[in-house]
Formats: sequence, C-alpha cells, structure tokens
Amino acid sequence: MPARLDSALLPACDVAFLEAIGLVHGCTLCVRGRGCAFIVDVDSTRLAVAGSVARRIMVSPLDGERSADP
Amino acid sequence: MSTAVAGCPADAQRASDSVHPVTPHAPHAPQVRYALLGHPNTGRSTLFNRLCGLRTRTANYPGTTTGIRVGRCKTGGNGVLLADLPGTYSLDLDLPESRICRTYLEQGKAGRDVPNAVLVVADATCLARSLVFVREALSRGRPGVVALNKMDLARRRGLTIDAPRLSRAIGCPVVPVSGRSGEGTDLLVEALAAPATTDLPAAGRTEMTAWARRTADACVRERSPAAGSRDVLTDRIDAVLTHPVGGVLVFCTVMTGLFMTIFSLATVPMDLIELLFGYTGQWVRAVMAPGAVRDLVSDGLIAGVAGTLVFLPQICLLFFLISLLEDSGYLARAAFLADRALRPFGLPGHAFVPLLSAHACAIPAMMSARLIPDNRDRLATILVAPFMSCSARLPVYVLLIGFLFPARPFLAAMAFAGCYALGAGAAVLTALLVRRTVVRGRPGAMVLELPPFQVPSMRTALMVTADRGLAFVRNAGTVIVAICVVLWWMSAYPSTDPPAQATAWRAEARAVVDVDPQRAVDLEARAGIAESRHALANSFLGRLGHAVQPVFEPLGYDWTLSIGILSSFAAREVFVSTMIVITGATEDPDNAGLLERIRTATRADGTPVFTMSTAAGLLVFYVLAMQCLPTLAVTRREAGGWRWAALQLVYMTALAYVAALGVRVGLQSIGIA
Repeated sequence: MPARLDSALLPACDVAFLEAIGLVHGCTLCVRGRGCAFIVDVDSTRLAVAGSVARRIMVSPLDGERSADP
Repeated sequence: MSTAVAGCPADAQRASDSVHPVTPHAPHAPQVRYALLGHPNTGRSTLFNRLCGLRTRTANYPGTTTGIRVGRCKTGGNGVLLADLPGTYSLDLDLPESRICRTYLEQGKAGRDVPNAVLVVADATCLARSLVFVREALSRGRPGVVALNKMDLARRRGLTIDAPRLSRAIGCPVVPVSGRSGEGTDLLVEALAAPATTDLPAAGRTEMTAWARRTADACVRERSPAAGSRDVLTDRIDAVLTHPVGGVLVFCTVMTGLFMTIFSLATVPMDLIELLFGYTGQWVRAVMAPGAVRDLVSDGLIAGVAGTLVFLPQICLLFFLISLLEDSGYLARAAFLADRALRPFGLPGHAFVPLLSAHACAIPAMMSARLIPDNRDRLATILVAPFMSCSARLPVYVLLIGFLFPARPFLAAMAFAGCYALGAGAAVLTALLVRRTVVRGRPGAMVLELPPFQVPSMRTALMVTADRGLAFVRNAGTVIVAICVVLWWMSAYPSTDPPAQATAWRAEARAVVDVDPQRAVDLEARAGIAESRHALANSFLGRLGHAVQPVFEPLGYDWTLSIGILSSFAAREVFVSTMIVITGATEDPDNAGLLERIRTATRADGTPVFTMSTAAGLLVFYVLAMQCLPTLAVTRREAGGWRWAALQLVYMTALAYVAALGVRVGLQSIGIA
C-alpha cells in the first residue's frame, strides 16, 4: 500500500533516526507486509519497523484517505 | 553502465588548499589517511577487506563493525591508510556509532592518525538515500572520494548509473565498484590518490533529501521491469521469514540443520586430528629417553594441545555456516524476529547481534553491544551475553555429549542444540530478572534495515572461517600450552615413593614371569597404574583437587573433575586438555584415543568418573557457568565497574551449580545413575 509519511509522534532522537534511515516527512513509502514487524519500502530500501514504532507514525494513503497506522 | 573513474581534476588541486592538506605524491609527504564512512550494510567492511587484505568482520546486516580497523591500502607510492568506521545513518545522531565516527574524524585514535580525507561508500542500489549521507560527510570540509558500491547488484536490477554526471553533481571523484567481486577496486585505488573537496554546502535534512532525490533521478537512467518480480519474490520470502509462527519454525529448522551438519561433517577431520596427535605422542615416547622431559612433551604439550585442536573442524564449520547465513540476508530477518521474542524479556532486537556474536565469543559480543542506543539495554545485554554458548564451550559439549550419546548422531545433535537453547533460555530469563531488579526499564523501539537477499559469498565465509579458526589455534598455541605445562608440572611433582601394593605386585610379577608371562605383564600394568594414581593423588594438583572436592561432591565430581573445573576458570576449553593431562597420568598412555581415555577414566575404587548423571550435570554446569576470566575483565570495562563483573560471576556460578545438582538428582531419581 503506497502512502505518504505525515508525521512521527516519537521523541526527537527517534525522529532524527527515522529521518536518517529514510523515513522523512513527506516521503513516499510502501507497506509490504505485517509479520513480526511492519515491512516498509522507502527509496529502494526495505525497513522493518517494530509495531510499537509503526503505531506512532502517521501516514496518508496516496489515494487521499488518512490512516494513523501503516 | 560506466565503470571508469569519474573524477574532478580541478578539485584535486583544491584539496591541497583545504583544512586537511593531502599531498600523496610528494616525496616524504604525509600519508593520506582516509576515514571509511557509509551507511550500515553498504559493504564498507567488504570493500575494506578487498582494498587492504585485512580480515575484518563483515556481515549482511547492520551493526557488525563496532571498532575501528586501520589498514594500509594495497597500492604503490606512499600508500594510503584506511580506517574502517562503524556504519551510521548520519554523523549527527545521538547514537554510539555516530559518536564513534564524529570522534574519530575530529581526533583520530587518541589524537593520532587524524584522517585528512574521507572515502564515502554509497549503495548503488538505493542511490537517493546514500546521497544524503554522501553530502553530509563531504560537506564537513575534508576532501573525499565516493565509492559507488554494489554495482554488480545494481546491474542485475537493471539500474544504469551515470557516474561522471554524479561526480559533477557531487564535486568529487565517484568510482563504481563491487567489493564482493573486486570490480573497479583498482580504479578506486587510483582515485584515492586524488581526493577532492566538494562545493556543496552543509544543509538541513529536508534540503539534502530533496537534492539527493533530484540527483539520483538525473543519474539513474533505467529500471528493469524484472525488478518488480524480484520485489514480489522478496515480499513472499519475507512474509514467511518474519511470520510469527512460520518465521520461528524456519529459524528452528535452520539452526537444527546447522548443528546437524556440523556434527555430521566434522567427524572425519576430528578423527584424523586425534589419530595424528595420538601417533605423534607415541612416536615421541618411542624416540625420547624416559624421563620428565619426555613426559612433559608427550603427556603435557602434545596431549593437551591435541585435546583442544581436535575441535577445530567443528568450530570452523560453525563460523563458515553462520557467515553464509549472514551474507544471504537471512540473519537480519532473524534479528527482527528476535525483537518480538526478546522484547517481553526486556531486551531490544538490537541485542540479537551481540547475542549471536556471543556464540563465537562473549568478548567481541560485549564490545558490539556498544552499538545498542540505550545504556540500560546495553548493560542488560552485557550481563546476559556470557550465557550464550561460545566456541570455547564447544570442546566440552562435544566431549560430554559424546559420552552421553555415543554413535547416535541425531540424539547428539538434539543435545547440542539443547545446550544452545538452555544457554539462550537462561540468558533471556536472566534478562527479565535484571530488567526488574538491577537495571529497571523497558527496551527502546526498533527499526532495522532489511538487506536484499543474495547468494552468500564463499570468499567472505572462508575469510571469516580462517580468521576465527586461526584465533582459536593461536589461543591453543599460547594460553592452553602454558596451562598444560603448569598442570603437568603440578601433576608430576613432588615425586613420591610407590605404594606398597604396587611394590608387591611388581615383586609378584618378577616371581611368576617364567611360569606365567601373561600374568606377569598384567601385574606390571596394574602396578604401573597404581603408582601413577598414587603419584598424582599426592602431587600438588592432587592435593588441590582433594581440598576442593568436598565443594563438588554433591554434584558427583571426584577430585580429578574438580581440578578440571578449577583449571577451566581461566578458559573453558582448558577442561578437556586438563582431563587429558590428568588421565594421561593414571590411564594407559599408549591409548591413541585421547577422548576414549577420558571416557573410560576410573576412580580409585574402579567406578567410572563419568556416569550418565555426572556427565549430564557437568554439561549443564558448563552451559551456565561463568568460566572465563577475560570475559569478566571485559564486563568490568564495558559495564563500568567490578561490581557488575562480580555480580555476573556469582550469579552464573551459583545458577550453574544449582542446575547441575538438580539434573543429577533428577536423573538419579528416575534410575539413571
């Protein structure tokens, strides 16, 4: 599911890490699966995001519908 | 696809005017000292190995390089020094790896070898993300070179990168390379002689990200339709490997298969090594004059070292197979699987890498725990890491499992896997205890990059295997030899008169030699063993063993086993060589089978030293006990005080003692003595 990252409701240090790893505000990401973690593709990079983190990342589906959880 | 160096000659000139002057071709000029920077998993360490020929630890998942490895690039002229720094996603993060990189860039190693240039490794398969870091690293004022790594993988994905255009956009040389295949590394070596300083100013992350995307869009020209089908395949594999149930089943299957493979394939070389050292010992006894020196060489040195080296094939196989798993991309998935499993016990998924490394040795594992962001997470990981079964325990496991399940490889493999499971189980339960008592708190959140699946590199696996195998041999050749010599001396002195019974048997043998030669031979042999046993019992080692034996009496250990445990507090693997030295003094020394000699060792009353319950209890003891002085020293250093090392020692030893006692009593209660 393609989506755009709106915000991350996390401590500043965690947000800085997410930005460094590629999850920056406005980036397009694609949720590839939910196993033990959320698997997300960003800029040809595959990331596994723990559920506790994913729940605090707000994204908008590219069809315009807002979602609070990828 | 461009493979030539895309350089900027004009910028090379600017380098000499920079804050950190670089004049590599001038006579007696200072060396070019490069800091090797890049994201985790961009292949920095593989490229470093390729350029310098050094054996650094590399893996296909983040967090492997924890220290700084410095090597000289294999090139002419004045040469180039490269420092392989930990992979980091940014130099400005408040994370250990970022701090290490920042400190090294500013101060070098304790003020020496401050780098005057940077070699930034970019991942050609995800250029846009790498370019953000490239700009961040180069805009700090040092001249640099960009190595566009993983070009072989990019090509397979149908990506074509315009390196000259990219070089113009960045403002310094860009060299397409493949650290795995060696492609382009000769050109990279040439480019290292002429780094350039970029004109790009430092900027905020949003601006850098936008610039990186524009640049990547302009330089990456093509994307093959095959990439889509590859993504689908990767999705399907990831769906299985990270599934809460399926992923765990795959993990258990992979690990059991790994241990069964080790047990099956290592048997032949182990037998050959044992045979070789057995014959060598016999040859020494045949050619050297009887005396203390002959006994030292044959029973002390040769037997002691053989008892350790016999396990080299298994250790090499373990590292070889783990390296293949790492390189394939599987272990990163396993790490995230582990996050879900470890989190309820108070450990973060980041602890997976240190805990896995602890299967090789707890010392580098504790050092790799430096990369765990949260200090409490890190401390908890350090405290429990020694529970994981390290390679030093392997010889003891193999010895004792061989006693418990002779000629039954499946059961032996299960027991072997059980030892690893017991160690891991003790680690996580201890972590739970630790996080609720001395290191309170919950672990931090985890985000991890999943590298693409790839065919593992045999070269990398063989390098890792050779590196670890040689380290084990070096240890056997130094510490263990020294301990063997000391143990032999303690077991041989002070000299004592033979016991009366042995003297009587020898007299009887002389009396009957003409009438019954076979009986005379038997009597002589019996007298010899009685003399050896008496001498050992009255030696320094024997006295020490008898003194501590009451402590281990509840576990069923006699004084020889007590000595084995005491001596292996220095290093666990010493247990086997200690037992060989001790039994060499009491059993038939001409027996070529060293392990058989231990297995059939008897007490003074003729009962076996190793019963089922004793061997099983001893196995559990070695799984859980903290018997490694160097590990305790590293705990003190990494955790920040002796109190943590003391806590670790007392807790693990007490747990091991109680567990071993429980196993022995339990087995005896169901009739297994």
